[in-house]
Amino acid sequence: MAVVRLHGVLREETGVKEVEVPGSSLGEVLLGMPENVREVLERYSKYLVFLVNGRVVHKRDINLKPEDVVDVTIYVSGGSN
Amino acid sequence: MSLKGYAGKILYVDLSKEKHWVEPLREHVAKSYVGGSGLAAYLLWNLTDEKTDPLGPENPLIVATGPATGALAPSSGRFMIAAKSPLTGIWGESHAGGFFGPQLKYAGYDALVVLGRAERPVSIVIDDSSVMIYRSDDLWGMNTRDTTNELRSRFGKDYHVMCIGPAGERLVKFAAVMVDYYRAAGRTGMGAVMGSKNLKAIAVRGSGGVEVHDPDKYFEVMEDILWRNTEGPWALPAQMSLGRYGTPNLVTVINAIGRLPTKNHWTGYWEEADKISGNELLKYRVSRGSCFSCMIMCKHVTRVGDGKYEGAFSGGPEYETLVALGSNLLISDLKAIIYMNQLCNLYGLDTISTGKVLSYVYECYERGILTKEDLDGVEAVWGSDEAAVKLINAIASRKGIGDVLAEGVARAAEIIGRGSEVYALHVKKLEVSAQDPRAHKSVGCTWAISVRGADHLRSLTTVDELGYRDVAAERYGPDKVDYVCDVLSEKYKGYIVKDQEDLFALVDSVIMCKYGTMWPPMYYFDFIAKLLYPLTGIKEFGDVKYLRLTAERIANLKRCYNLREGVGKESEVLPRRFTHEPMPTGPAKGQVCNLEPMLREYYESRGWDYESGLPYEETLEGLGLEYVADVLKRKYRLPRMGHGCSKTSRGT
Repeated sequence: MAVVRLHGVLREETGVKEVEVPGSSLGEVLLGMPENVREVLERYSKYLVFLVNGRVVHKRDINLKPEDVVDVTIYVSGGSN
Repeated sequence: MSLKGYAGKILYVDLSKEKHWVEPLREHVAKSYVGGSGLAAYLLWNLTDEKTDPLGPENPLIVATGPATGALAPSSGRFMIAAKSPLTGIWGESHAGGFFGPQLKYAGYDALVVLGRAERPVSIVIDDSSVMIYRSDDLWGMNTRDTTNELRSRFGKDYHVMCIGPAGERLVKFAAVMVDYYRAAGRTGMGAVMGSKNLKAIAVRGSGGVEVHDPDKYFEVMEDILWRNTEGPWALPAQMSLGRYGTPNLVTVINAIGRLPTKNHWTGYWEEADKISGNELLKYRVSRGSCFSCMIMCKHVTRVGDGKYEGAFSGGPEYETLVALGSNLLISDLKAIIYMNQLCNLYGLDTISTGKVLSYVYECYERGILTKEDLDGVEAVWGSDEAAVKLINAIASRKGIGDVLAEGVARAAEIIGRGSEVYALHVKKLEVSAQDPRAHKSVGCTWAISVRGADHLRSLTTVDELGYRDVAAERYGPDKVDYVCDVLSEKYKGYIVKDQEDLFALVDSVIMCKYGTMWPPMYYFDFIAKLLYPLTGIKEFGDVKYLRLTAERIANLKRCYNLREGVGKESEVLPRRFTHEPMPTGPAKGQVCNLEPMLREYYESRGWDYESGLPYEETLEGLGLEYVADVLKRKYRLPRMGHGCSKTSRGT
C-alpha cells in the first residue's frame, strides 16, 4: 500500500489528486492504479517522473513500505531521463 | 557597423542636461561582451566606480537588448535593466519579457543609457530616431497601470512602456520596473533608480528590423527550434506544464521534494500547498499569453470574481509570488494572493523582496521582537492576509513601519535590531528567492556566489533537481552523474553552479529566456553557437570554446564589479537558518546546507583563489580583463598562480 499523489496535468486529466494503492513495489502500485489514471499515465509515459518520499527514482522494481509517498509528475516543462 | 543582428547604436539620454545622442556599438565590445547583460556590465564598469551613489544622478540606468532580441530566436522578447543597486550597493540587474525589448531594437538601439537626474518628473518617449524628454508631472503618483494607459493613449497604442509606480517614486529600495502592465523587472531596486532620476517611464516604438547575416542558415536554426517546440521530446511536457499552468505548475512538485519555502523558510514542506497550486490557479485565469517569439506561452492573467477581493486583476501570480506571498506567510487564500500580487504590480514592488520582508516581520512578531505597537496596529500573525495588505500599503507609501521596511530586509533588521537579524533572510542584502539550500544543496552555492545576491536566475542548476540524468551525463560526464543528480549531495555542485553561471551569463547577454535553458535544459552552449553565427556574422560566435570564454569574461567582470565595491568572499555566506537549523519537516527533514565544499569547487573552477577570495591575475589576463585587474590592484594584492596566495588586502 502506498499513497500516490498526482501533479499538474496528471491531476487535471484524471481528476485524482491523491489515491491509496495496494502494492509492495512501485511497479505493482502503478499497475494497481484506477483504470482512468493508468490510461492518462500511459499517454504521458515517456515524460513521467516518479518520486518516492521526495526523491527521484529511476527503477520501478523499487520496494515500497506502507508509509511511503509516491509522487508522479511529468518533467517540469519537459526533459528526458 | 557591418555586424548583423545588432542595431549598432547605443542611445544616451542625459536628463540633467536634457540632451540625447547616439554612439556606435563598437565591434570589439560586441565581440567581447555580446550584448544585454554583458554589454551592461562593460558599460557599468566604465560609467561608475566605488564612490557612485546608487540613488545619485551619477548612477546610470542601462536598458539593454541582445543580438537575439527581436530576431525570431526562441523567447527573444526579453531585455534587461542594470545599474548599481540601491538595495545591495553592488551589481544590480533585472530582466523582463514581453515586447519592449524588440521595440527598442526596432527603434534602432541595442541599448539605452540614462544619465543624470531631471529636475521634475519626466518620461522618455522614443519613436525610432525621435527621442523626447516628456514632462510628466501629471503622471507622478499614478500606479503602473494608469501610467501605461496614459502614455499609450497620448502617444499611441503601439508604444511599449516600462514605468515605475509610487514605490519607485518614493525610492523603496526594492521597487520594480513594470513593463507593459504585468512584466516585472523586479529585483535589485531598478525602480528606485528610475525614481531617483525623476524618470517615470520610458515608452518606445520602432519601425525597423533586425538584419541577419546568413538568412538561410539562420532559418535552418529556426526550423530546429520549431521542431523542438512542436515535435521534439521536450515539446509535449513543455506545453503541458509551463504552457498549461505557467510557473505555478512548480508549486506542488517543489513541495513534493521538500523545498517549498514555508513560514519564512522555516521549512520546505507545506500541507496546504495544493491550495495555491497551478491547478487551483487555473480557476482564476482569464487569459493566457506569451512574450515576443515564444511558443511556450507561460504567461497568464488572473481575476478574482467574488468575495472581499472581487475585481483583483493582474498578470500572474508566478511561482515566486505564490511562495513569497503565500506559503512563506502561510496564506493559502488564492484570492488574497492574487490581490496582493496586483497591489505589488500597481505600486511597482518586487513581490519576492516584499514577501520576504513581510515574513521577516511575521516571524519577529511571533517571537515578540516586534509588537502591534511597533507595527502601527498591525497584527502580523501567520496566515493573515489583512496584515500583509496593510504592510504592503505601508511599504509603498513609506508610512510608519513601512518606511523602515522599504529599506529592504537587511537594512530593516539592522535598524530594528533586537536579535531580529537572524530572521532577515538575504545574501548580499538581496532577499532570498523561493528555493531552500537544505533540500536542494546546489542552491546554497547558487545563492552565495550570485553577483546580485540570493537569487535563482543567475546560476540555478536544474539537472540535479528532478533528475535530468541524460543531460547531466552529457554535460558533466557519466562518472559524475550519480552525485550531480543527487539533490542532497554537495559533491560537484560547485562545478556545475560555475558552469550554469557561465551559461546564464551568455543567455542573459544574447538574450534568451530561462525557459529552454533552465527548464527544460534544452539549449546549451553548442546551440547558442549555432544561433549566433548566422545571426551576427561574427565568426568567433560559432566557436563553442570562444563562447565559453566570453561567458567567463562576463561572469568575471560582474564579480570584479562587486570586488571593486569592496564586496567579496566574506559576503558569500548563507543565512544561519540554512546552515545551522536542520530542516524540521518534509522529505528533506534533518538536512542542512554545507556551503564550504561547494564554494571551494566553485573558486577552483572559476580560477579564483579560495583563501583570499580574489581572482588570479592570470585568470583576468586570460579573459582580456587586464583593465579590470589594473583597477583591482589599486585595492587588493591579486594572487598569481603557483606563487602562494596572499590574504593581505590593501583594502580601503
